[in-house]
Amino acid sequence: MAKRVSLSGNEAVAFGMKQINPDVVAAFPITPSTEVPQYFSQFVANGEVDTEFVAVESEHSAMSACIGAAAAGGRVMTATASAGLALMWEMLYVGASMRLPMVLAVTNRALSGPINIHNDHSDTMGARDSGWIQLYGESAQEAYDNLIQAIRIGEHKDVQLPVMVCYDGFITSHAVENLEMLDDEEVKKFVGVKREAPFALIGQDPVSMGPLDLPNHYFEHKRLQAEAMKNAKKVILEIAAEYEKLTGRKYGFFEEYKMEDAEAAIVVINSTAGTAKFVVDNLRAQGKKVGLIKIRVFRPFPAEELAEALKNVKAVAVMDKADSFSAAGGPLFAEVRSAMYGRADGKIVTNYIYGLGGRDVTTTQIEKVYADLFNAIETGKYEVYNYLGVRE
Amino acid sequence: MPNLKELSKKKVRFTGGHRMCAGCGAPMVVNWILKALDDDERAVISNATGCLEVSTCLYPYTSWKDSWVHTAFENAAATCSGTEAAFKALKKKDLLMESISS
Ligand code: SF4
Repeated sequence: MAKRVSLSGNEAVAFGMKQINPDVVAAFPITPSTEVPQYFSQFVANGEVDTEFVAVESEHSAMSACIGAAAAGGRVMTATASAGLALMWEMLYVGASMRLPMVLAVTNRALSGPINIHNDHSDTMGARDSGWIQLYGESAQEAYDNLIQAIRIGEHKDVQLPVMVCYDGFITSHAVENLEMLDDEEVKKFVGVKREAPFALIGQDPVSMGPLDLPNHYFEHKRLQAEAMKNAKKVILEIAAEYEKLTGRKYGFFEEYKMEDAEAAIVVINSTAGTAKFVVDNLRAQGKKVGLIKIRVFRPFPAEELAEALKNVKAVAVMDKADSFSAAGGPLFAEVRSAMYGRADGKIVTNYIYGLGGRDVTTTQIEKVYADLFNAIETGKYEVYNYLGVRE
Repeated sequence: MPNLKELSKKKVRFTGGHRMCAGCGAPMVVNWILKALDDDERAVISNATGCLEVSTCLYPYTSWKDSWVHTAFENAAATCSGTEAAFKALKKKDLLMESISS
């Protein structure tokens, strides 16, 4: 039977990892992710898991060791944030192209420079094209649930890709929340004992992995990698349905909050959705037709489904907690607007860059975004690119 | 310790036909290093990016009769540390096949 617990996001993830009991965890500490490997190494030291913990000298080595372990056929997990993820960069691409399922818990933190330890999404948004599946969660509960599901998604035979499980640094990683955890036995049953590894360094036959791949084959391999990411869409929903049966908690590509008759909507990722839902409730009480979409799956990007969900709104504001310095909006905005093109045309679509470096986002600011959208609907006049909560 | 004559009789784990330059010393070095293994042992070889790597495992061919892995330039040891950890964990959990459990 599931049990109610009060845990921080990092504790929920560390306990989730304990229940999964992976073969190898290779990790290097970095704020605000440190507690995950710290708690987990205690489980290892206490003999509460069978995992081999590799204490490495950098995040580059952490990801390299994870790749070596996954290539061997092991079930592998790690955790990092910000500059740690940046130091893994080269190896993120290598791991994904080698089609190695691994699960990486990322506590989202601003990317240097200037150095800043607080939350925004510049770290994982930068890694969005590394070939990893990316799941995002609003709360400790969602971080935990995504973590358990991530194992199954990445290891599915039609996918065989690594998965990032992202949640907000400090806001989610350190705040203690009530959540429901599965029983150890239920998790064990859900994830299975041994990872399916069609090819493994330690397997039936010797295998060479990581060859030189020249122009006559490289393209086909990248095409197959792209196909795996497409397959992941179906698998993510299948695993979510199975998980719902077990827990009663429903997951999809994104959460639609009061979207049925919404005229003005915002699209947002992670913990800010909690603040925004409060605003939606208040505005709804005033009779305003507002709604919200919270992205759970950013890679693969659910383009068609999002366009469908936005087809009846008049105006939508896409909230980016990362700037892409493209001079043409943030990463989520670019993808949402492009997803709508030809599928949900004629809408007002605006972008708000907010909360960089952990700048608090307030209910007043989110109210302003909805007010801007209604103003745009009425007057037809609006700015596409906006910065929210910054001193100009 | 076996002498050179005895070592030369050991199993060859690295085959010819690779693209290393004719006369290159590296393949010979590899061959002799691998003779440290007993004939019934299996190895996992972690290879850094370089001549030896690009010339001996050019998709879809490989010269390596043991398992072999290449990930990047600077991290052959780190990669191998993960493989070793996986071996230990799988062994502890009794998930290794009989043939490779030693
Ligand atoms: S090291 Fe490379 S370039 Fe030098 S002889 Fe050997 S294969 Fe040729």
